[in-house]
Amino acid sequence: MSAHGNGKHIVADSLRGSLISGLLFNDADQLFITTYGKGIWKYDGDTFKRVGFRELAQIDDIYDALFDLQGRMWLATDNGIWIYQPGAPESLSHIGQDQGLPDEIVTQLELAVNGDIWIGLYDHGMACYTIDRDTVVSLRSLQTSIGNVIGLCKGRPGEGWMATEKSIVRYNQDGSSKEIKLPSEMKDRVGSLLYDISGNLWVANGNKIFVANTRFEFTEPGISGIQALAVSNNQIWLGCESGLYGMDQQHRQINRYLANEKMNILSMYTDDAGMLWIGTFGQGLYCFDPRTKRHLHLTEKNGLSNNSILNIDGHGETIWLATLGGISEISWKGNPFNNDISITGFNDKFDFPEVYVYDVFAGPDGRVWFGTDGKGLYVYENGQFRFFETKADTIAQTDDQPKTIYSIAAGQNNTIWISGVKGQILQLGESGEILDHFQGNQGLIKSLVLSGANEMLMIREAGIHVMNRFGQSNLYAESSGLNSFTPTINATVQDKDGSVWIADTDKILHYIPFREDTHQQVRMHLLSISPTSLLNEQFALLKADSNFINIRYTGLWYQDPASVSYRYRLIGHDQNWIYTQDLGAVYSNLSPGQYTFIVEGSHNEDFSNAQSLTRQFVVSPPFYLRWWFITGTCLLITWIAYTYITARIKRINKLHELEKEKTMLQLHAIQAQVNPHFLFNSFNTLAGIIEENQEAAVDYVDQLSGFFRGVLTHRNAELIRLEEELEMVRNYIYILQKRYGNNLRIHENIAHAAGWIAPLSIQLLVENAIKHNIVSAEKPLSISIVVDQEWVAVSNPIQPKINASTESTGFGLSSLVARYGYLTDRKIEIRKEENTFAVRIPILYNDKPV
Amino acid sequence: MKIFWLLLLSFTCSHVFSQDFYFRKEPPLVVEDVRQINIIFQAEDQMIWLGTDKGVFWYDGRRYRQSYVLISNWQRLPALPKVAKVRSGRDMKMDICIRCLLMVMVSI
Repeated sequence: MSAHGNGKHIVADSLRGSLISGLLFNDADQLFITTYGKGIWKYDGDTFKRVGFRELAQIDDIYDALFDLQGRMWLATDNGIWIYQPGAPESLSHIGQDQGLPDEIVTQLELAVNGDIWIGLYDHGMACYTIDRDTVVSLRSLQTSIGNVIGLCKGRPGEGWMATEKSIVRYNQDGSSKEIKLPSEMKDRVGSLLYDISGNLWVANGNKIFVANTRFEFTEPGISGIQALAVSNNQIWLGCESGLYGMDQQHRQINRYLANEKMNILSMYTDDAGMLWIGTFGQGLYCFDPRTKRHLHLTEKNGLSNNSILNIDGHGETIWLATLGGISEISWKGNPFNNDISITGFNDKFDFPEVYVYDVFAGPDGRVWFGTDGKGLYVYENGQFRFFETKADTIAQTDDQPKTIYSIAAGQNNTIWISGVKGQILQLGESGEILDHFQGNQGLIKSLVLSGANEMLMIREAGIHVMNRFGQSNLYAESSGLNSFTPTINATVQDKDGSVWIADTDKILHYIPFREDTHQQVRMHLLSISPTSLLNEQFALLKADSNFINIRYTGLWYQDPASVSYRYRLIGHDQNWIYTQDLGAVYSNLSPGQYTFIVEGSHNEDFSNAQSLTRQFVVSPPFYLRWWFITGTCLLITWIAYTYITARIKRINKLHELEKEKTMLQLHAIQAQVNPHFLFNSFNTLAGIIEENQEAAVDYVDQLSGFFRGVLTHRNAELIRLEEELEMVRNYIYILQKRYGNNLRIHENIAHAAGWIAPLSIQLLVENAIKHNIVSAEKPLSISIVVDQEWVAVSNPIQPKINASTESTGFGLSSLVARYGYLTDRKIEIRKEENTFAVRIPILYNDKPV
Repeated sequence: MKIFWLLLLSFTCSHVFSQDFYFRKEPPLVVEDVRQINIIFQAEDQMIWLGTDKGVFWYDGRRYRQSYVLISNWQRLPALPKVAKVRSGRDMKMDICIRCLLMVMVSI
């Protein structure tokens, strides 16, 4: 797998031999290059030109550089800091030891968010230039044993981080600093340091990387059995099984207090005057003044409901105690040590039963809440004490309404959060309606507490669920070092900075809210996509054969990378979301259509606010599904069908006509059979012959009957053999010659008598010749019949009758032509010249008779 | 003697404490025989970039991937010889400064 990049490569020949120490763009987008060895160079897009203003021309070795918010270039050198103002007029100023810089050798510069400059020194740690005061603040100097400064980075506002070869130090602008204890696995020198946008501190060590979530700071005070926490000024109070301890934040010391009192402390509270109220197991209540070290001890003898006090909270000069035997209210005027204390038991005043009360919470709106064992939630408001009924909308909410409440905290907009014995959490509105509901499938919630950044912390074993003010939640667990964290019930406190302290039995967790909580989402990145036309977010049009989609992505959540899961969906293809841990999706053989691919990443399996990657595209249909192809194909099919049908109709019509012709020919033949003139003439001829020569008469009758036999035999045939036609014609001619004598002369030239011919076709031509021409002694008619291999030619001289008794209809010859048009591609040739009329009929060989 | 007992009492009753972070160890960068990570840098798009003795890598919290850089019409370089400084550039670009070689690389 490889990343990629389109590179613009600039070879800086003039800088060869020097180390480029910085690339800087000013507001005008001009590029400046600082080097260690050859000073500052300005790149104008084509050439490099050395910046040489006054003493700047003599400065060759520059360790680091930056532009400040005023557009001035800061240069870290062996001779302090030079501040160069480019443009007209140019100016140059210097910060050295005379201006408060602890060391002349400056190796690192880092611009803080507010415009201050963090300054890394070669062997004197770190300094800070404050823009407001225009002075350098010298921070704590470091011992040279921890190595030279390697890198700087800015952290939270007013916070800078410095890495040396052997350590990491956190500086604050107030001058305080803290050396961070590095894990024993960091055996190489520190290579680099980064404070990322989510508050993670990255440390490079050799080829290894270590990441710390700076939200969580762990303290091991060396005391076990921590059960309660309180805070006042710089002191974190630890209430333990063995007594009271104070953690001095300024001097990082732990001191024991009230050592003579045997106290198993369960709860603590610091009032507005700084008095520490201490609730114990079985030993009643203590009030401790940290300034005077005086203390006051109250028990059941003084009117407390019970000597075991599980929790304390208060407003002004009143506190309420949640005990193993009900609720007590304690109020005083001025100083509680003046014996002006009033103790009221809710058992007597409100007839409240002597039950375990696990938590008391004095809300910012003046209401005081009590979480009981088996009796639900109670509220004390304006002197009224009542059961607070929750109103469930769903069965799940009804089932999860807790009767035993371990912890109470205030949310935003006067809402209240409570946690139950099953680990369930409810957010309640002012009248008890359930606004939010979390089922307790992740274990018992030990505490609920609101941070100064309005984050609700739901603290449980091995993890803290943090919901920010936008409703986005995040679970911090093993990756933040909380896998072995076992919090004590309700042992939490918020300090004046808004950070939250949480007690384990033997260690303290300090949660520092990260106020830049806009980065609570997994940041999605596209790694690769195929086809590459989908690289841009614009709508893409894919070809039909580019319907294979391969998308690779990743989600950035450096607080806990292993917790990231994804869901993706190709709208137009997938019915539902596909949930996965994979970093890719593949779709093949997508049908033509419009698609939208969406992939989302989440670190808590809640995708409601997840960032997404989206690509929209259309897979084009193949050409055979395009409109123009379909239209063209339809037109083509229509044309083919039309042509076929037309040809078919034409052929059918032709067949019909042929059938008609055939019928007409048959009719003509039948008519010929019964032609009265033919018969009359034939019988007249026969009568004449009978008288003269009876044998000839018999022969004549034979010829006549032979002719009619042929007509009857072949009248329905498509074709007859040529020799049969010739035989019929000879019979016909015989009959005619008996009538016309020598006036009709037939010349036969039969060279070839094979093949096929339409029946009665030669007879028709001979009959036509006699019908349309004079046959007389003055003008005898000569008819020539010539047969070769291809043709039968019948010709006669043109001797037209003057008053033809039988008018020609032209039907006989034209029907013969039409009939041959059906039988063969070879056409009948009709040639009429001045004196001769000739017809040639093709002889057919390959055509079979129908 | 009184001062001695007071000092002894203070030692027995108080002691110093330290506050520490939990450092999570990321998977080691064993690609291309990298020996030293010189620079860790987060770009505007939140991606973590690493400048090493064997070139530039980026890291998404799970995997390291080497960044190949196409240099004009030159050969494709599998790695850069030595990354000295990385700065976030303009328009979501990343500027990588190496010895005697300037390169403007488009961030993924």
